[in-house]
Amino acid sequence: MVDELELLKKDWQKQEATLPKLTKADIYPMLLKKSSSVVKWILIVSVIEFAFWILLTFGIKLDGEGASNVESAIGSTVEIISTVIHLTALLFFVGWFYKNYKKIESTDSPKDLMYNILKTRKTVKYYIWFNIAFLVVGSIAAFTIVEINSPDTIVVDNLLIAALAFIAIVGIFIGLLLLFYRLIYGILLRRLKTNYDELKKMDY
Amino acid sequence: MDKNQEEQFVALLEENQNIVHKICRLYTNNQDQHNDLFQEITIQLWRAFPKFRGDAKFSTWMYRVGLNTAITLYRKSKRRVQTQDFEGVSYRISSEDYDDTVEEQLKLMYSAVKELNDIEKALVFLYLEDKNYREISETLGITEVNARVKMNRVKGKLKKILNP
Repeated sequence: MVDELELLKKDWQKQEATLPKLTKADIYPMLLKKSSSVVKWILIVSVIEFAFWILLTFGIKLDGEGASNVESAIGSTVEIISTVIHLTALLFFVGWFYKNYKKIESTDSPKDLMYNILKTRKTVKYYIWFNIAFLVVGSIAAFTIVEINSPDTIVVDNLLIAALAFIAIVGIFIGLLLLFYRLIYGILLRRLKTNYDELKKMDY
Repeated sequence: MDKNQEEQFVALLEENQNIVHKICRLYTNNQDQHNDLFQEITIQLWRAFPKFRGDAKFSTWMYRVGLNTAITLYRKSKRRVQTQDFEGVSYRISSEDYDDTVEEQLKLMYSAVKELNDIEKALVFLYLEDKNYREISETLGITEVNARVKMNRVKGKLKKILNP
């Protein structure tokens, strides 16, 4: 085996003459082209997700007639508190995404890079879970407050059906979102994960 | 990034382009993919260039960023896997029909290396580039002992591929 590898090494070092020779004129345009790397796509997807959540947050507030009724019933204090919490969290995640992106951009060791990629993935995961938790807890809180403060807003006869419908809609929505998340990130991260595992094996 | 830096970078890349071409040769199977990967490595090198402080040789730094890109960042088409499998099989069959000439042996070795996973390829690549274990460990960000252990395993794996 050693002899064969040595043979290969000799042959490998002879190949220089057959390698392509690019000139500066060939290289300059390459600097302007866009990267097609996996990490770039992970970031694009994260940003799209981020935009989706922002749109959804404001979409519910602006278009949802039911939601605005609920909000008016809850009162401005609760609304302000929840908005402040949500926006603070969003800002926190934007900062986190940016930090991860910067780290990935300037890493030159495969191991650190993969560690950072996994960290980015985790950040996105936390972000999704936070949003889902916020949605669920917020909705339950809103229902409870509405029921306590102004029981007339929702007619008691319909409460069970309304609650079931609400749970079903939220459940379907969360399910679809998780499916989308698993599909997109699954495709992007499968190969990275394999290589990450290989590197991990190498280290221990 | 200013114009001077760009000129400096392009000059350095032109001078050391063989390293990138050789990485591309190991990680791809046709000219289109070779060009794609070369492009991707160039972009990553250019992005990381402001972080290159000259404390390592430019070529050493290129090995790191280049392999890094090939291992983790490069999106490969499915075609690659099919080509790879076909080549591996065809070489193996032909080796039974002919005498083991040097050329045949080399062909077999190359096809066996192509069957390794991305990390193992990186190890073999650095070995073929005549890097010692200290340099291999620094480039891949692992300990020297691990580089040695892993290289021995890769040799074993190559042996198995060649003598199934």
